[in-house]
Amino acid sequence: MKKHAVIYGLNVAGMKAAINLGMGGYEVLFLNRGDYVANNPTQLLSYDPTNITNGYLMKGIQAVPTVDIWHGAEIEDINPSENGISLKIKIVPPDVEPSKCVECGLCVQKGMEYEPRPIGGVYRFPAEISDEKKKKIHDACPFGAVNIEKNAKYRDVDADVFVIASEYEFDKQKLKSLGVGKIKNLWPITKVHRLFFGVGTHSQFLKDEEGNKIKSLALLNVDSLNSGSYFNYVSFLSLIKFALKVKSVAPEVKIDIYYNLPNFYGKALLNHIRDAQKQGVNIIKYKPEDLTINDGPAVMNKKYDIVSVSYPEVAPNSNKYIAEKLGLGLKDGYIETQPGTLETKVKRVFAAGAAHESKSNSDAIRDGDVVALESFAYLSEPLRMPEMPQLPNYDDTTPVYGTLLCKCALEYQTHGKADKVIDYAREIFGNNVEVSDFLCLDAKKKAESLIKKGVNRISVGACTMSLRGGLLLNMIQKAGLDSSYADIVQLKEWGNSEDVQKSMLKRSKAVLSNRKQSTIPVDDKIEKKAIIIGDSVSALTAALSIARAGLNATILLKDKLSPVIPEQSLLVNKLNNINNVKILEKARIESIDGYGGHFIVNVLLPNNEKVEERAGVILFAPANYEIPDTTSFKNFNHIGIIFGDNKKGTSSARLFSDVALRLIESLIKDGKKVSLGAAITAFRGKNVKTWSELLKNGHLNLVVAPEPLADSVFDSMESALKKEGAEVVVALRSEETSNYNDIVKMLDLRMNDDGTIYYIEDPYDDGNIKMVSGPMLTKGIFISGPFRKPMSFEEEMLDGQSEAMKMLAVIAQPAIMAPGMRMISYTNYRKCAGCALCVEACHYGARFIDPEDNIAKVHEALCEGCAACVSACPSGAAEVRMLEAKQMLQSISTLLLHEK
Amino acid sequence: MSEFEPKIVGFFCNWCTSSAADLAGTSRLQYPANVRPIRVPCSGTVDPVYLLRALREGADGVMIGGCHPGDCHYITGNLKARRRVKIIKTILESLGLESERVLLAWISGSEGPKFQRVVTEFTEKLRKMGPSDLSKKWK
Repeated sequence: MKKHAVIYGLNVAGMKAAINLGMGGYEVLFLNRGDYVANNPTQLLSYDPTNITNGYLMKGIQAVPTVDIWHGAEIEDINPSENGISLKIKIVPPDVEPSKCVECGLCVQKGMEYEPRPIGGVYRFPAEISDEKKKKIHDACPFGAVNIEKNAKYRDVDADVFVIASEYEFDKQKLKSLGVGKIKNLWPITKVHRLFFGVGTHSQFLKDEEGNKIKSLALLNVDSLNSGSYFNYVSFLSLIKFALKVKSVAPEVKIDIYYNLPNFYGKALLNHIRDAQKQGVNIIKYKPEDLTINDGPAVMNKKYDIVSVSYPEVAPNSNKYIAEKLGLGLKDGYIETQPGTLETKVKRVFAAGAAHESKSNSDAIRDGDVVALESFAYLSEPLRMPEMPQLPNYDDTTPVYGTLLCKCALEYQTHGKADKVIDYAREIFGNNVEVSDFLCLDAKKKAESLIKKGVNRISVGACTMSLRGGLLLNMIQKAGLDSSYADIVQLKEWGNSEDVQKSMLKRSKAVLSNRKQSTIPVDDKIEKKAIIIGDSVSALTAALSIARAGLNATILLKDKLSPVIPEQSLLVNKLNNINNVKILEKARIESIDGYGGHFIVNVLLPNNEKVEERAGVILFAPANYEIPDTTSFKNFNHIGIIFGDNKKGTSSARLFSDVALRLIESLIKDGKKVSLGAAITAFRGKNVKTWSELLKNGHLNLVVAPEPLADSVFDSMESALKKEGAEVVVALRSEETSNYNDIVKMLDLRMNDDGTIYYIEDPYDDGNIKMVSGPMLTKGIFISGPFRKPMSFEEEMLDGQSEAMKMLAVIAQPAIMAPGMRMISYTNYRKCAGCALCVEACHYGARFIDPEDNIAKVHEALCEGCAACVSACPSGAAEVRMLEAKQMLQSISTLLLHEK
Repeated sequence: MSEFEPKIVGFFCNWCTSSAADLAGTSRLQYPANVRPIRVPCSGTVDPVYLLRALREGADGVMIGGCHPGDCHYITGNLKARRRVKIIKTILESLGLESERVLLAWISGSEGPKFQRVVTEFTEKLRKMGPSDLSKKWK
């Protein structure tokens, strides 16, 4: 069997990649290791049963006909070669064949186990079951859906690319080693959560295993990798939220939270920590090597009534096996890829999502875009829709009417009076009546015989439109008559009345008399070009991706293109060899007009020449990687560095970027001592380990304002660093974001106070239905690089590719998509805690935290209704609903606004 | 003067016409890009106010796509739409406005070609009728 792509595992990244590839006509095969699709939800907290992101993505996959899924599949053998990858796949049938099962429940009566799931459920044999009982269950099923003999099948598949997209796993081993299951009242966090959220009263939860009311509770955040991964951060945040919930029902309970994150990240976490501290929750940092849990239970010899341990995340187990087979490198169990890409060192093999790194949902979805884009180079020709033959045009000829009737539908719908209806048809259509016992089976033959008689208008009487309509029209088209000249009459509507039956036939004939063959060409006015503002790594990567897809891109720069970091120069070299990327240096953007698909950017060049650039999409991705001159530090031995420059002390755009890390590394290499002062110390992504190692080795001295109340002491950071012994203090300033204020305004974007960008604010005016005439952001404007969120260079490369993928999706489409989608998300203000997890989860940039009331708000125009926020929200505040009246009205206005 | 391009606002049922539009797109069927689609949960959710608003804001035509009678996902939503469209057409006529600018079509999810045809025909019709002066009259 030949497939374009094989995706192993069902993580979010793999699903997004499958949708991307499948929509392009590529055949994708999914290998699901389990027997059920959505059983291991996404990379966010999985003990939320309402998590439906997987469900949504699965829905997307099921809508794409070129995506195939094999359940219970394992890879037996894998051989990569120059021209493709050959796989041997082992398929173990499930206990109950889902295609045969009608969920009657007879097997459950005989002892089958049923596990309810959000969508459907799973039937399984109990763990210890005799063959005799199995036979009994098998015999009980009237549909033969129960499999007793599980003979594995083997299949050979050849693929162009192979994507490792395994789901993350929980480290149950680690919990065991801590004593969960052995020590009394030492519980995994899920148990506490379930009791708390489950049926019964809150006070029921507040009892230990013997039913005593508890007075003290310890929540322990453990991490298998000690890396401060994203997941670890999320689980820490959830512990704090949980503590706040307990406090709200039982303020008398003493709560201690133990954590070992190397840092805190973001305002939301800090706010929660502050709230928790106000409520009297102790937040204690521990060193992993000191952690002891004893009977009692006691954490580090402090006794509690209940100790609860969070689940640590580990790399997927299957990674090891696959890596061994392919000779790939593993880092902490995650598959290593080439820098800046998701391709491994074996060509045609990719690792995405949780297989690649501990990632947030939004990052994993972004991975899906990247994989699709990177794999295009290897994919063979996609499937194409068969070309429709040129059919004769009957517009100006005299209509000759005929009808095809289905007896199967007629008999059923008219309660056995089919012959009467056929008689009416003969009255109206004369001799040109063809009756078939089952029209679905021989529609083409019957239509051909009608056409032979000279018929050029066919009325079809069949069951329901949705069941057979498309098929019958296709068959008529195949028989040689353009389907414009056919009309389907739904026999269901004919009813029993003689008059109705006659009038339906007549109506159909009348309708056909006006039919014309539709041959108007597609309006193909969308500008198939992209404008990219800035020269950040992500901007250059995006330009490269667009150019490789065969479309044009223009890069607009404020200054001269002067790559300062190696990644930039590498990309610039690549761009120089490509013709369809134009770079305009020292270009001043005078105005940006238009809308998604039709942007007009007026640019003033240094020689006072005015240029009008047209594009379908705009990418805003500037950055300034200015590295401070280290030569001036020669005479000093101890250097203090301050991150960021804004007073609020939030994460500045550059805070996490590799520039700082590289500077510090070069200083340490020169034998200097470095003290680092930061309002919030926050290292994320792959660099976490490097940072932690620097800190561990004692080269780097971290001066943090007393955790966690960090953000008010930024001003005194300089003196604090000098106290530590720093001889000179430099502030590593992020780029003046105000430089881009005018462009940001032109694009209708909004700058956050930490230099990252929000999309525009909600244009709706509450209270009355007053229409806001201001432009609404529809598709067409994209943001990437440090202005979107703080990121390292490697992340930037992936981000640039992902945005390029989205841009290509827009400029390849024939028409602008409507801003009003199927569903949009909204926030229940009373439940929202302002944690910003939904902002992180939203991959369309539709959610933002309103700085005024700290509540997550939604930009309806951007929301795609994917419900990623619903799954991310721990407090159930994010929900999805249909459009409201005023949003609908706004959508109408927006759609009509474009042409004015 | 270039040929007049009518602006059509389309309210398409999530369960049928929207899928038909997608199908038409994925089957590479060519249809005029005059329709600006809005996906609605059911044709029955289309308030007459939306139709009037669209015409007032400058649309030359409004199209509602729903499921065939009897196929409605919500049992009778499309029948309600039919009733409403009938009423709104009567109102438009009694006001001296052109009721032909509102079109109700039953297009099931599998009828990509029908979607193409309906859109093409409606566009052609509006092209012949010329631009709507309804929005001007309103002011």
